[in-house]
Amino acid sequence: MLSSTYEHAKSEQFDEDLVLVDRVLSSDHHAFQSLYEKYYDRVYAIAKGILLEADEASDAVQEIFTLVYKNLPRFDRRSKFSTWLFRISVNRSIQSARRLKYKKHQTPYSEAVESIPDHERPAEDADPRVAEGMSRLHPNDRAILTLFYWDELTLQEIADSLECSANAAKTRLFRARERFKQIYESLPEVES
Amino acid sequence: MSHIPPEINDLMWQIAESQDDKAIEQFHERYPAYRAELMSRMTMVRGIKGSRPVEIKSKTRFLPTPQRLNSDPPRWVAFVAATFLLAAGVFATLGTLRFVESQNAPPTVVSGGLDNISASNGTTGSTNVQPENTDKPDVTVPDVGDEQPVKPASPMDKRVTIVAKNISLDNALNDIAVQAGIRLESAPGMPDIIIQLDFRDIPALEVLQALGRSFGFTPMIQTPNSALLIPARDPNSPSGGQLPGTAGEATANEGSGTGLLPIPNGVNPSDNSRIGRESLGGATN
Repeated sequence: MLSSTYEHAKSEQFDEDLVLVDRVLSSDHHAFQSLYEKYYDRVYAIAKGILLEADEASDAVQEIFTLVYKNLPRFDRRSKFSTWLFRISVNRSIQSARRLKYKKHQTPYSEAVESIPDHERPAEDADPRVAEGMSRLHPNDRAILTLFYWDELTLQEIADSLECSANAAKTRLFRARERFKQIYESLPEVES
Repeated sequence: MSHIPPEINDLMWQIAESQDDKAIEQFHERYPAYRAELMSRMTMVRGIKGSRPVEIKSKTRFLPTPQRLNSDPPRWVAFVAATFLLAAGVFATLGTLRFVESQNAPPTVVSGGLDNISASNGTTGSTNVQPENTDKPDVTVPDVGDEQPVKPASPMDKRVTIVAKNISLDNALNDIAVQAGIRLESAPGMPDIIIQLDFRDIPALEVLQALGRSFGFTPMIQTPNSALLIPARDPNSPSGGQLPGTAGEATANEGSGTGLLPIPNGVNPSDNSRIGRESLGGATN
């Protein structure tokens, strides 16, 4: 019991995120800006991977950080701040994706690309089948692929973020990847 | 996919994700049959990783403002709003019900204070329905509840006047029904007899009850404006001594008056409405 407390304290001692969290809880709002800048890209990647649309992802990121700021006093520190943040990001993005599903029908990727402003278009060498394949997946599958390939989390981190065991995370990743592969290979290859 | 052994499948994913040239080369040497599959997976994984949004359009500065923090109303506001809406719904429902009831209820009538009732002219063989406010009122009966609002109840309480000799019970009942605006249904077995009767300004229900006591049937109220006449006397009904009018079976000797029920002593036989009033316990002059 004593050793676990010591280990916990030791890990807290060198966790920059927890220091920032403490500063935020001490009414230092600039500390939260540091957390925001540190994790914006990764949270945006999760939101974009699940929601697919840049504008929706940007809105979701603002909602996620607002939620985090409001609920920061409830952060129990049993997990890393980043894990807690990613968990909120995934849950919030999946909720938004469900809302969007009823809000509008999914546009085929080719049409969606036409409507995207130039500065938001994917890179020229990006495989359009990836976006199309992602858009046909369930948001839960998109979430786990995003965490694994875009945020490059380990299976244990994914498990913590999705609130499941590592084995369950592995199984879910395997199934999501197989479903994506099936869709990906069914799409015609684009000549470059 | 099912024909690829699981261990090779897992190995291919690991190599595709690591993109390690040495591992790829070794895999090709060891499993040349899966070369194309591995290349396909590597392309797919590269595609997924390559589609990660690297350039964020605008990393806006996050400054938590009170507006942003309070954008969602607290739960108690929602609770109060829900309670208010529920209460409003209940009041609206009650109001609507009361309005509907008031529309369906009979209008309240304020009595003029006097009831003018015409006396019978003694026509034989037909009923006389005397309209109110005739030109020559013979009897004036002051209203008991002077200046009191009189609320007519159901059509069964509507006052009727029926004076007849040698009329069938069926026709008499029809007349009562027409005057009171009610519907009377006779059950099988009702007596088919010729009667004489004299009721003036008496509630229809009381007339029916009086006839029932005299001729052996019981009026059973079904709805506010309909009754079923059952040919049996209700043992619990009040005795016939309090009839508001007179009724009796007609005799062959028409016009002689022998067929009429006894009329109380000291009362003018033509003043039947007075008899009815007294027997009802109403005020007299």
